[in-house]
Amino acid sequence: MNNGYFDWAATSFMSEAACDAYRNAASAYPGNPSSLHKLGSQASTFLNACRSTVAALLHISPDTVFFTAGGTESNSIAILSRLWRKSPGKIIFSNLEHDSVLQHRRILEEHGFAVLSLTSKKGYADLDHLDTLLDEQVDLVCLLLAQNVLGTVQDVASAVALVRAHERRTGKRIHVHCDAVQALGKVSFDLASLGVDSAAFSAHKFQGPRGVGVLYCRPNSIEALSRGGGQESGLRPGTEHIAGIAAMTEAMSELFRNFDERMLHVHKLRRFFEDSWREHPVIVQLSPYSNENSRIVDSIVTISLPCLPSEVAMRILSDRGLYVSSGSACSNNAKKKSSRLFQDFGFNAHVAGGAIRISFGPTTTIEECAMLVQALQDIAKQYGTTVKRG
Amino acid sequence: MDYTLYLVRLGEISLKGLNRDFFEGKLKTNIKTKLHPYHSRIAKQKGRLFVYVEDQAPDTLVREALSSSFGIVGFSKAIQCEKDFETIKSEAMRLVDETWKIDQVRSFKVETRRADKTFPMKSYDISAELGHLILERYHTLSVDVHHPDRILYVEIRDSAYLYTDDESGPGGLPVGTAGRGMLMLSGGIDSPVAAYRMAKRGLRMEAVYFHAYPYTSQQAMDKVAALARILSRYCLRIVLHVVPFTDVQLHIKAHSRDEETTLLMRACMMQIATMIAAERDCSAIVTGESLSQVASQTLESIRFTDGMTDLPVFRPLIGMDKEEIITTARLIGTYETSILPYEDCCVIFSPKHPLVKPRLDSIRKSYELLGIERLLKEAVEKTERILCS
Repeated sequence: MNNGYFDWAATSFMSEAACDAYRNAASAYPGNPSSLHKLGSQASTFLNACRSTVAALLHISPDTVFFTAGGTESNSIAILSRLWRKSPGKIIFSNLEHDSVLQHRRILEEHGFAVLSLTSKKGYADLDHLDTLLDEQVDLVCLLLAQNVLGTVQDVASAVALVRAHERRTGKRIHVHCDAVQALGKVSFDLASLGVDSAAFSAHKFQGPRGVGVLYCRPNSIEALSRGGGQESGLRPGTEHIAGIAAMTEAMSELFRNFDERMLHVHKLRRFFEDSWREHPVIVQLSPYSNENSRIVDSIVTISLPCLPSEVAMRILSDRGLYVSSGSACSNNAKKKSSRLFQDFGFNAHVAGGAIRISFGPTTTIEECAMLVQALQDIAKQYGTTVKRG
Repeated sequence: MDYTLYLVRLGEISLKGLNRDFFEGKLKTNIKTKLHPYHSRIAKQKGRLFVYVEDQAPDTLVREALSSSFGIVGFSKAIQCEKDFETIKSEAMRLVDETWKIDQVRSFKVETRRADKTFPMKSYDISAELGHLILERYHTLSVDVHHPDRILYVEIRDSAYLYTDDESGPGGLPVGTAGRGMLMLSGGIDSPVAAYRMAKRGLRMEAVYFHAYPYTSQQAMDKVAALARILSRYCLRIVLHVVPFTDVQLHIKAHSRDEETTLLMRACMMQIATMIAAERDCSAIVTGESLSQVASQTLESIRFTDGMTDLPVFRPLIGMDKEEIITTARLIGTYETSILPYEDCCVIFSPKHPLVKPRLDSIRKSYELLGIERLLKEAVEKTERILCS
């Protein structure tokens, strides 16, 4: 399928199997899982079967799987649960987090929490800095697994080890939450051995439907703010989105059915891209290059055409039927977050302003990648010289 | 067909001498256009328009049309009835019942004008009788002839006319009475306000927008069209000319010194606007420039860009500061659209240090050296038009 789509990190297209699962479940399980009659109990049984499947795929216990409305909601439930605490403490967010984590800063601060920023070096959270931030007042640490712009994979297990060592010294428990939305299906990891207390997943990032996700956490370790009929053990009250959950379960099953094969395919595409611009005079790769030791998601690579604001390059590519994500706006005063991120990374403002995220998936073909490379080279050739940056 | 009557007060127009028919005629056409598709008849009487609108027309639509028509100082919904005092009494009470929120009114007065002196009662007596009736019905009210909360107006002319509220209109002169101008409309805060100001003096406008795709986005273009649509409320339908400007900008970028690019670009815009103005029978250029607001709006810069057109350039905001401009932008409803984050000029065409005080001879020479006439003509030829209403 040559659809020129290179924005998989924003969303992926729902797979045929997931669409089928959605339609089938929608008609096969019309009842409300909370209803006590036959239709209700059929829906409830099916829902729990989905839960067991998801749990098995993630190698965790079914009673730690809670269905939500997506990654943002999963993050929100975990973070906002801290508001129940009688004495607010400190909360640590890495500066690599997605807005669905970072944007909680204001409400937390308004409720008396001190929100600390964990710095990063070249796209990786600085664990030495984490060590200095930890004290007896810290209540929550948020560290994502795969960074959504750079594709860097964080050493969450080591961060958790640091936190646990600290806990042993102070005797005070710290909740570690991991936003794994960009990681699932893109990098191999074992959730249980990461040792986090909670984690967030989103179905539409792995060819499932939008509006469905998972919150992983130990039973009773989190209390949600919203109230309702007690569904999902009260963590996410509201009648369950059975069809969506069915489709997500199917998409996740597909993901792990031939995981290694997919990873290999995506890795080949990554190498193809990197080889095409490694020596290029204009195109700069901002994400780390892929090798045996690099901790990265192969399917997310950010490059820059320093000759053009990324938004302009995005529009030129879009007109050629190639869809990428632009980091920053073509504006005189926009200081977008991603642009800042790249400047933290050590790139100058032009390079940061020309940042383009290319993200792909298992159905992306080498031909599509070749088309994109050709287009990027054309742009570099056309604009690299005629347009001098002001 | 039944009609609802609105009385419209005219301001400056009523001071006009022999030209008054022209101004009133234009205003009538403008009002009828705005009320379309609802039918309306408009009669003129000294200093007034009597606007009869098909009663199917929603009151909110009529008020919206009248409150945005330049030339109108005030208006009110009115009742026209027979010149018979019994009828006048019952209609007056109906009007008060319907339009006064009695719990919010403490005082009132009745003001009567008797143009028809054959009417048997004198103005004072009419007012007194009606006032008495109202007091009898509503015990909480009192009469205050100096600072009343509400006023009931009674006019005895060819018929009796009764009205209460006088909503204010926007003043000014009817759009179209001052000729036609070409507005340089960007996506910013200022140029829509400039359009409003000029429309208030009766200028009918078309607008020109410089589109530099892919350096500026389709969203920026849509935003300008949205602004033109908002403005059409005051300016009537606006023809928006979208000029493909990318080649011109690239040419300037490649063939001039960085600090001169902004001014040369402004000069090209002025030339193109003038060319389109000639095609479209417009005899003025309108811009949102405000003295010294940015580099291209200093006296020296304006002197240069002014020389790029033989038309008068109206800059109604020249002496206003940003806060005043923003206040008007909020008032006319363009502010929220103007601040949408779609830039109308790409950062690569904005030099870090643009020329602030260009020397006229040297910047003119730079412009001549560009040799850009052919590109400007091409841009005009490829210009597309959007009707915004």
